[in-house]
Amino acid sequence: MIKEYHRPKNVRDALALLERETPRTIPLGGGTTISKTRDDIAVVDLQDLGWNKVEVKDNDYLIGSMTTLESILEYFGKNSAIGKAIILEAGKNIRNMATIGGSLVACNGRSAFLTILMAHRCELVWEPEERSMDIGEWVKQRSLGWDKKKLISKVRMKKAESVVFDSIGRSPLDQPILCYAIAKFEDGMVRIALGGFGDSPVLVFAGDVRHIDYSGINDTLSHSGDEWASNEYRKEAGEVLVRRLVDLATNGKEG
Amino acid sequence: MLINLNINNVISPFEVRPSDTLLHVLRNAGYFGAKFGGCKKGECGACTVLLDGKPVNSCSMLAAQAEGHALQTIEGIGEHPDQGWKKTDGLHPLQQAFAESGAIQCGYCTPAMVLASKALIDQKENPTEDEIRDSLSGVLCRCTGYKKPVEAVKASAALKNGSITEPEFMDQLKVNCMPQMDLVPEAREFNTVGKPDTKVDAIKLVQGKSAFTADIDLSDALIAKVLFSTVAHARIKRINVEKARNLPGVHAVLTYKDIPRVVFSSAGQSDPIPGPLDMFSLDNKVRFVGDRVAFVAAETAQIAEEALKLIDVEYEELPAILDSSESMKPDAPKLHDEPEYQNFADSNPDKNLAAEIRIDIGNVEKGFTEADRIFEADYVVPKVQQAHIEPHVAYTYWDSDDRLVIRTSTQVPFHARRILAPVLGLPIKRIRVIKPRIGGGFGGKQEILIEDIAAHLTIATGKPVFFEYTREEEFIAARSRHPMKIHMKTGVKRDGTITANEMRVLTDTGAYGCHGLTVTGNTGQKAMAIYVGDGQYRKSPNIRFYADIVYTNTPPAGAFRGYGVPQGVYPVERQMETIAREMNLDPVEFRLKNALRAGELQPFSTSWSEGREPRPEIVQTVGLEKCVRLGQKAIDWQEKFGNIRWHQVEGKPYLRKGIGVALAMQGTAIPYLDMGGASIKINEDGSFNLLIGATDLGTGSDTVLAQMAAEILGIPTEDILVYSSDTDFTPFDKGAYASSTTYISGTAVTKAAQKAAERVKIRAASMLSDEKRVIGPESIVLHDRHAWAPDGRSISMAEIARNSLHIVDQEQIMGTASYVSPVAPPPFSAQFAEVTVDVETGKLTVEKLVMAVDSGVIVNPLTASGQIEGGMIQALGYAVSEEMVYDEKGNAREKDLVDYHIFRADEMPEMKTIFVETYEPTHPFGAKAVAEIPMDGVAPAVSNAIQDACGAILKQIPATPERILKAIHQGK
Repeated sequence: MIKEYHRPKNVRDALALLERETPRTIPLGGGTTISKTRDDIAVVDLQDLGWNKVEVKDNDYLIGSMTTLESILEYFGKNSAIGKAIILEAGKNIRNMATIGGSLVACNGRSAFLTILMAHRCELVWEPEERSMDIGEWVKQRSLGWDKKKLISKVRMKKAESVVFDSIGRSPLDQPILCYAIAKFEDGMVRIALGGFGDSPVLVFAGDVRHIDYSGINDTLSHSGDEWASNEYRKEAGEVLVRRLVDLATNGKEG
Repeated sequence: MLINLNINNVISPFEVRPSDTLLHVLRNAGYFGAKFGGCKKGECGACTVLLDGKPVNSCSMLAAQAEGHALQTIEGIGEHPDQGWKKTDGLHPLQQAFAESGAIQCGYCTPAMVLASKALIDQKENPTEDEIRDSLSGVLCRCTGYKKPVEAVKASAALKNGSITEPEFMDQLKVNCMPQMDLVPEAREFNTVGKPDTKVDAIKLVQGKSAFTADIDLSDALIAKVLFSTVAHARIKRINVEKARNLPGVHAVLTYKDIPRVVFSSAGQSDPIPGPLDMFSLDNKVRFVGDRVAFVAAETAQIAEEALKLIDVEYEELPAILDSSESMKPDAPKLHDEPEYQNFADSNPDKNLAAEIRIDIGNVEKGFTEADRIFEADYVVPKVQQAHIEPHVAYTYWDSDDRLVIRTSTQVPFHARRILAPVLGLPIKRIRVIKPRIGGGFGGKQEILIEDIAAHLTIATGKPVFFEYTREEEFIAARSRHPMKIHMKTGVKRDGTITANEMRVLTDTGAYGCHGLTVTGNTGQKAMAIYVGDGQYRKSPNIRFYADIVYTNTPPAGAFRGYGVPQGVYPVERQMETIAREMNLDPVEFRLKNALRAGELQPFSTSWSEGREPRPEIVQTVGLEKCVRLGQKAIDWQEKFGNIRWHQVEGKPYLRKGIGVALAMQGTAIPYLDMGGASIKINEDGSFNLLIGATDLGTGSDTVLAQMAAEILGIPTEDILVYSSDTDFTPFDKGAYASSTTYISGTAVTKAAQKAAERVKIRAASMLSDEKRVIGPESIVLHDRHAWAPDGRSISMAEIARNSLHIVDQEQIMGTASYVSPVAPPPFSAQFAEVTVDVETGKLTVEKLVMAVDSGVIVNPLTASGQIEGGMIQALGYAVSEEMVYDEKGNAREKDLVDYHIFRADEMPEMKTIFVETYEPTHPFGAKAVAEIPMDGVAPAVSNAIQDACGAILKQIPATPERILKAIHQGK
């Protein structure tokens, strides 16, 4: 049960609260997950820290960690790949509450939004000291436990030349049982992320578009079988989906 | 901690705990418009409020988070326009639009939808339909199919931006929400019946008033929680509750040792229950993950949950049966070895057999020998959840007369009282069941599921007890649709005549046999009866229906809208499709050639009835062929079916379009068994109180019953004040199930109104007569709130009321009546579906659903079409996305409405409803049932459309992408 609620006005106070050994203190984003916890914790509500905007700096998007999914959707538009992924993530109400920071902590492998973030060149910026961490590294560390005394202040996302996304579910807006997001950058590099199962999406390729290793990508699905779909299905449908999306990302149309 | 909340522009202090959610604080403060949906992830959105103008889920944020923000609740946006001398601004146009358009069904999510759409139209002057659907995407509605709510928002936005006037607003609402109607001449004569009247409770619901079971002050109530079994099959070896009992704030902990051991069935059906008595409030054995182990009552939910953790249970685990195919094997573990078990008919707990059905009509074997082709196939239909947004909820207390009051969201208040009396050790007369508004039921609340829990705890503590399920508990511990494995065998002549049809069913009733027999009986009785064959076979069809209903260690199944028929229609209609395609027959004409026609015997009527001996029944009205023709036209069948070009999608060679059809037949009530009662009395202003035991679970039945009474009495529906239902004050009624309310309760209401009308006419004749003119009551006609003499003179209903209550030969003009039907006239439907299939991935998009329905005369086209639209979307879930699956330990895969995906407003196919009226002579206004039939045809029509698109022959639903792709490969 939540024993204490704090709403600091600045980062220093927030970090001071998080550094306490007792009670166990954790940051509160939109609250969609933590508000229902039965654990004995204290929460630090970050809503007053001003981390709720999307900005552009040089060739990067800087997305404050308290930016809601709906604000990100509004920024990029519902027809953008990121917009489509966010619509799959949840209905309007939850999008108005859930933050990108909270999503990075709580999302699992079926998250379309996390899949598309994985496809981008994303870095998480941490307070204190504005240290950066690649999103792939974060996803690995997340499952092992991370230093809860630090805060994600923003997500730095490299602008891509084109981003495409597609998913398969039981209905148009069902959680994906399989999804791919592909981002192509000006330097010709392509990043392919795969989601729809497991604890988190996976970056299955990062490199020159001419050297995409489809069989390697598909091998990632060899152990993807779960209660929602079999390995065999995901491999077969996945191969189709990724080829179509690569064509779309690189040629602007499906092959 | 003390916080200040700005609610509807008023800032007030609140003392809250850091863990209190905003929903908790709002509801404790009386803002009942924000509802509890039981969900952990905020997926249902019933608790919506506006935070700085944006819709958010109040259940998923802490109250403290809302400090410093502007909150808006439904209570702050509009109010009843007429409050006596006080002037008000009235309802918000959105509230008005929801009320007038039929966008409200159960009304539980209505405040949330109104608020969510208000946020949109406050921001966007001229929103598109996509934007409207997006605005509603955070609120799950299980009743409406979202069609009418979307129209309501469109009209409100248009009114707000000035593109339509107030009168145009009202017109637009009715016109855009009305179904296509094919009327019978008799229906044109009615004044009130057949009109799209506003629901009698719409204004209350759209304001979020305290209508539902939980919408009361609970400050003096203990909160109940249940310890559920974590194992699928076990004997409780030891249970120690001392620590839990000693926890401060805990008032009672009950185990099987503490309460009487009374065997009963939780199925809310008429007496005697047509099924085995095989459960106890608490037992020393658990039979599924989610079965009851102990009850706790404590001062707060948190304390009750803490207490649950302190209960020490040692299980002696037993082998479990998780696959119904294993249940009757000789070495299978036995679920029910309790000596109190009471058999019904052919149930046999030694074989794990809850019920058995063997029906042979005609000479089936001879029919097969007369066939040119025999088709056999196996089909599988899944377990699915009703997923009403209001969870099961009950509140119990002793009243000042020491009678136990049970306030509960039930479809069957009178059955609940009868069934609970022995379980609680009380005579019926010391129990009062009050049914407030029901926030959706769909059969799930035709179960005495939780009332005994709260009641036992009230008896134990002497205190009021409140209990409601969470969404997870709904999935692990409530009832669901019976999953079935079905074998079909059909004999067909070359010309397409069906010579014999056989269905063998294995029904999984889960751990208890509730509804197992009657649900499965319907599977054959309705789904098989529609195809009798042609020629000589019409007079003597050959039909076999055999079923075994077996126990497994999974959550029990129960009643769910359609009640066994959707399970049967799927294999039958898939079988018909396969036969038509293999034999090169037109799938529509093949079906019609063999379908039941007016004047023919319902073939099962001589061999099956729910709870009573069967009696032959001639089906008098069948609008099936017209349904087919109008449905074909609406979906453009002639242009699309068999048209290769139409099946292709330009630029996307991997996509294929397909079109499919399925026919269905349901029932209307249970003949010779279920009874409805009604009572009506006049008030001094000429209005009437209508007291009914019938329960409106969102269908609009209160309104429809009021319309029928109003028609008889010659007054508008608004002059009928409906009260439903309270076992102390309203007449007996079987409750809301079996599509019976309009037909059974409606006839009772009509008869009661006729009795009152007779007294009105006698008095009016007397008042209009004088020495020169003697008017006979038989010549009096009632309409326009007046009683009219043949010479054109009239007297108002108010004058008649005043005369009867105060002036001359005073009497209370009233009528009471009841009705039980000798027949169950079936409604019919033709369901069409259009789909697009990605043949390389199996991904499916359902593009369009058209349903043409013969439900007799439609009493209220708005509420009836709402039933069809909402039903089609529930059925679409059954077709493509809904399924309850268990792991090897019996643990549920689905525990929320994220994994168990029900359709959102922003992913809906296009939908069209057509009513093909027939005049059913056994009902006073020609009506038949409408509520259940939309569940039947969608799944087979979608699977048939998939087959049309790509040749994939599906024999199992839901049609997931993986199953579709597999079927595509098998087709190759």
